[in-house]
This record gives sequence, C-alpha cells and structure tokens, in this order.
Amino acid sequence: MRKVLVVDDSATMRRMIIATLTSLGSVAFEQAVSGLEAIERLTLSPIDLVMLDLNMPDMHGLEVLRFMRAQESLRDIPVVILTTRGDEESRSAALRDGVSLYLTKPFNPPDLAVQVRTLLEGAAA
Amino acid sequence: MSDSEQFVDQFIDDYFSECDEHLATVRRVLLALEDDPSGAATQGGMLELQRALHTIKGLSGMVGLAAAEQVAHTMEDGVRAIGKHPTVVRPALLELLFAGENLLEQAIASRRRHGAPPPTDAYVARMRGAIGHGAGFVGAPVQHVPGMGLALSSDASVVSVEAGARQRFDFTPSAAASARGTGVETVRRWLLSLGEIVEATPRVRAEGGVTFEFVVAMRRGAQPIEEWRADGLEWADFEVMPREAPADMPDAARAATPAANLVRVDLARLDDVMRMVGEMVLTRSRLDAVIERMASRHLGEQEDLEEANEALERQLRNLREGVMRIRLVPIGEVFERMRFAVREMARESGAVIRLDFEGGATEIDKVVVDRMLEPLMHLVRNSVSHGIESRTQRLAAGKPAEGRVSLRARAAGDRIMLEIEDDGAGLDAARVASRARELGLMPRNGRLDDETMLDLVCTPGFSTRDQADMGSGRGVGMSVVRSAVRALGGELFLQSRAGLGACFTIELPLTLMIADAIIVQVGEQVMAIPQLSLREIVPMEELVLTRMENNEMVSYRGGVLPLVRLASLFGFPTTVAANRGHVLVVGSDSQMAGLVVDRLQGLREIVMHPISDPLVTVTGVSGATELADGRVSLILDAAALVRRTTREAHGSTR
Repeated sequence: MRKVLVVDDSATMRRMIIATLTSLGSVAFEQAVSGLEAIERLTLSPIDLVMLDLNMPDMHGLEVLRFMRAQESLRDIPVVILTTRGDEESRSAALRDGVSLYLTKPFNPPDLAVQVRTLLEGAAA
Repeated sequence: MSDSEQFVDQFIDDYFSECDEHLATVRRVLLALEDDPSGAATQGGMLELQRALHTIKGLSGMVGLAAAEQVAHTMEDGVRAIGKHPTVVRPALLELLFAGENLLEQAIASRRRHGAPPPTDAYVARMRGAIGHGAGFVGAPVQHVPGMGLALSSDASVVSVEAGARQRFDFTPSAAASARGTGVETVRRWLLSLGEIVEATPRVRAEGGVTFEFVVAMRRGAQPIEEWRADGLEWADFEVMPREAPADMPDAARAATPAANLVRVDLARLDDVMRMVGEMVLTRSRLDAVIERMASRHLGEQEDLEEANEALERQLRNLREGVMRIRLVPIGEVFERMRFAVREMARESGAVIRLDFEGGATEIDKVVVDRMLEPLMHLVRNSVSHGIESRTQRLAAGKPAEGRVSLRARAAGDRIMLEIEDDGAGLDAARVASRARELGLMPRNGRLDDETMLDLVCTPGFSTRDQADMGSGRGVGMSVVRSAVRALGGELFLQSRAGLGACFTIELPLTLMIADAIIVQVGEQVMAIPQLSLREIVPMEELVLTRMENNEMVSYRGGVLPLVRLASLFGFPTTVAANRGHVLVVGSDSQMAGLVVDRLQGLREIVMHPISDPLVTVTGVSGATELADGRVSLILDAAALVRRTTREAHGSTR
C-alpha cells in the first residue's frame, strides 16, 4: 500500500483529488490543509508521494518543496504540484527546485490518475 | 451523463457550500477594506481575500463554471492592484470588487438553478480598465507576483509590528500529540486566538524531526494557556517590551480567527441521528405500555422499573433537545449579508442608511436561516427603497437625513422573533387603498388596519409600484415572503405608523424537521407520507386482489402484501373504485404493508409538526404539516401502520 499526502487548503479540492487517485487502487491517503501541516505529516509518517497546492496560508507550497529537497530523508519523495491556473510564473521556480510534475487545476481526473500512477511506479522501481 | 459530469456532480454540493464560506470571507474583507481607508490594518485581510478568490477560481474551474472562474480571476487581479498602489486606484477598484462579488454570487446561483450564467465580459473589461488606469498613473505595469507573494510577505510583517509585541512559540509535533488530535494546525489556531502569525518556519532538529517556529504579533492582553505546553508548544515567558498597540484587533480580524473546536456536520447526518432518537422514543412508549400491564402483578419491582422508565424519558428528551441544538447557528451571519445588500442599495440610490443589528448571537435552526435569507433580504430592500424617504423629504419632516433600518432577533420560548424596522414613512395607506379598490379587494367597512394592510400587500399581484425598481423588484414579492414564513410554521406581522416607519415581525419556531414526502389524496383529504419510509408505488390495476377473511391481500414480489385502505381506516368516503388508486408499499423486508390511496399529488418538502397532545393521538398519524396552499395535511406514520396491519393479520389467521 502506497501512501499519498494530499496538500490543499480547500476541502472540496482534496476530496476531488482523493476520489481521482482512489481509482489507482492500493493507495492510502493522508491530508494536510496547509504547508505547515504537510511538513508535520511528512516528518511523522512515511509518505510515497506528495500532491502539493501552492497558494496556502502561512507557508507557500514552493517553500514546502524547498524544505523537502533540503532534507536527506524527504529529498527523494516525488512531488506533484497541482495549482490553480494563473500561477504560471511559479512553474520555472518549481522546476528549479526539483518538482517531479507541475500540473494545473482544473485537472482532468483520468489524466491526473495516469500521470500519478506513472510516477508512483517509477518511484517503486 | 458523461464521466466528467458524473465526477463534477459528486462534488457539486461541496462546491456550493465551500464557495458560500469563501464568499462570506470576501464580503467581510471588502467591508473591512472600505471602513479602513489607510488599508494598514487589513493587510492580513487582503491575503485572506486573495486566497478566498483563488480557491473559488480553482473550484469553479473544476466544476466547469467558467463565468465564476473568470470573475474570481479578474477580482484577484483587482485585489493585487489595490495592494500595489493603495491610494490611487483604491476607491474605483473597491467598487468593482463589490460588483464582482455580486456577479460571483449570481454565477454560482445560476449553476444551482441549472440556468445560464450571467455575462461577465463587460465586468472583466471594466476591471482591466480600472487596473490599467491605476498602473498608468504610477507609471508601472501591474505585474503578477510569482506565487502571488502570499507566503509571509514582508508587507505582512511590517503591519504586524505595529499591531503589538511579538512573541516566539516553538511547536514540536509528536506522534503522541498527533494521536490526541493536536497538530501544527491546532497550534496555528491557538496562536491565531492570540494575535497575528507573522512568521512560521519549520526547522530541522539535530536529533531528527522538526520544530515549527512561530512569531506572533500579540494582541494586547492576549495570554497563551499553560495547558498547551503539554501538547508540545513551548514559549519563553513574556520578556519583550509590549509596544503601544493602536487599538485592539478589529472585529473583522477577530471574526476571521477560526474557532478551534468547530466541526462541520452534514445536515443529513443530523437528521439520521434525529430519526434514531425518534425510534427510541417509540420504543420507550412501548415500554410504558408493558409497565402498565405489569402493574397489577408485580407490585414492588414495577415501581423500580417505572422510575427507570421515567429517567429514560427525561434523558431521551434531553438527547432530542441536544441534537436539535446542534442544528442551531447564530442569525448574525444573515445580518451581515444584509449589511452588504444595504450598502449596495444605498450606493445605487445615493441615500444614507444606517443599519443596526441587535441579537445577532440569537441561534436559529440552520434550515430556517437558509430559508429566511431571501424573505429578510426582500423586507430590508423594501425598507430601503420604499420605506425610507428621500433626504429632502426627511429633512422637511424634521427627521435626521440618515435613514435607519434595524434588524433585531430574539428568542421567546420555543419561538424566534425577527424584526425589520425602519424609520421611514410607513406603508402608504392611501395607495394601498386605491390599489385594493382597483382589484376589488377593499374590505366593506373601508378600514385599513395593519392586519388588513398586510393581507392586502401579501396578495399575489398586489404591488403598488407601477414599475419595480432595481432594489426591490428582483427576488420575491411580499406574497412569497409570507408564504415562505408560513411554510416554516411561522407568521408575519406588521406595525405601520404613518410618517414614523414600519416594523415587520417574523415569528418562527426555533427548530423544525423537514423531510421529502409524497402527497396523496384519500377521499377529499390530503395526506403526506415521508419518502424515506416508502419502498415502492404500484398502481392498483397492476395487482391482483385476493381476500382472506376480512383482510385484502395482493401478491407482491413472490409473497403476499396485506393492504390497508386508508379511506376506510380513517373513515373517509373514497372517490375511486376498489380496483383503482395506488398502493404505497412501506415497511421492512420482514414486515410490509401496502397503503391504498386514491390519488398521488407529487413529491414535496414538508415541515413536520409532531402531534404531542396525547388527546389527539391517532394510530398511523405522526404529525401534521401545512402545504404551500395553506391546507393542513396529516403525516402518515408508516411504521405504526405496518405494525397495526401485521398484528391484525396474525390475529385473524390464528
């Protein structure tokens, strides 16, 4: 069972993402409503992949990504940034900081599922 | 339905309710921005506003509501522009943001109604124009800030220094605290109750794990609670010299602090709990009957049992009230929306209106609150556009130029009173009279007291205005206001004093139960049966009737289904032949019955008023409801009818 951490300050959006990825089967989910909580979850339990929103209170998604990439123990966890269209300026920063995938909302559920599956399989190999 | 439609459909209610929350934030911050010309105290609010809009944009995109997505996006640009050049473009942009909020609401409402979304292009163009104008003025184009600069922007900390002393807090999460439900989000809420969080940084500990360092600009007099230390929050004792804080945190900012102990509960789940409580009440009444039968036989023990039974009754009543209380929310949030509407109207008409609230903390059933929003809005709009006179008229009448509208709420026993009072001209009796004559509705004695006047203006099609104006013309008329109040088991009253003002009073029950029900006709009588207790509806013609002694049966899904003719049960003359009408199949898998009715009238949402008077209790009737046309209908208790039928069937075959 792989564990995916879904980070988004919108409860509805988290539900949408989880419903989409549930179709992959044998995936368990943890949720975080903020960047800070994301870091907390990452340090308290093993996570296989992070779905990360950017625009969140107190700690921006890019800061979460940077924090992860600076930590030995978190460095190799794949991170998928899923952000609302209109933040395209963050894309280059995210790529520089080592994001695995940079996607925008609105997302197409089947496409998202396929992309995340590829990433999960790659990490397992 | 396509896959993607199905996906969206699954989340549409979540979408509506989350958007409602964000829109409330947008309105609150906009009003705060307007009250605070310098903008210094609302920096935190600006971030909140951007985030709320950003989330609405994202969610609207997911549900395919392009109009809302576009408006939210445009508003975001507007908010950013205000942040960039606070003084130059502020008033115009603020006005556009208010208009945008309105448009967003309309767009989302259109989706609720499955209607066409409002056009948004003109709005987008106006906002672009306004932003462009401001940018030109200061000689710099508006730029998108990477990532919107929302993470601890330096601006935010500058403001916070002004707000008060800073205090550092360290939180180290642990699996143990997490298991108790305390995490960094809990801590964040604790700290928000003390002031504004200026900085929040995770630091890796040498021994492994992470510590979150928070810097909080403390509100004057705010104190952390010692118990927090047990969950891993640490702080040094206050040593920082408190700076002179200009004022306490503004109300808006305080309201923004989320309450730490709130959970969101789906109303449907509460209804489930309520139903279970209802079942327990029934079980207990059976116990009552058993105890009574025992009375003659076991003297000593029966007393103990009676005592326990009484305690159970008391506890059940408390439980029921407890569940009902969970449904209560403060009416204040509805009042806040009125503030917004009045502001809009005052701006359109140029009038100066003061809106007063009283009793905003009064709690009222969530469903009632939702259904009273439109009627209240209508009454307030009426007050502003018809009640309050023009400035010149007011001054001539020796009244203050500023018109006053008061909204009051209070609880009186198990009723809630809502009052909407204005100090305008009162209802125009002459005008009402002439319109009443036109329609042939004038009472014979020609007297127009408040009650008659209310009846008249609540008559459908009665408007005394030839042309509905922008303010009151949209939405619902007075007749709809009154039927909305009555549908909730309430009543509308009017007190009008010529030249001094009018006061509408809405009286409502504190709580109520609402359910979907099938409305049926039995003889001349209309009855309601909750949809939840219904398994299937079959036309009589499709069934084959057999008779066993005095009981009618039909074969149904491989078994037999005993029939109950409601007409003969309640003693009404039936209007259809014995092999006509419909059978409502009710009951559980093991015990079913078919209730025979003359006609089906359709599915309605009804408000259930339980019949509590033991003198009028009738087996098979659980309560009464008022239908939209004012007729009272009895609500059938399917479970009781099934029990009765099975008992009889057993009795007759033995």
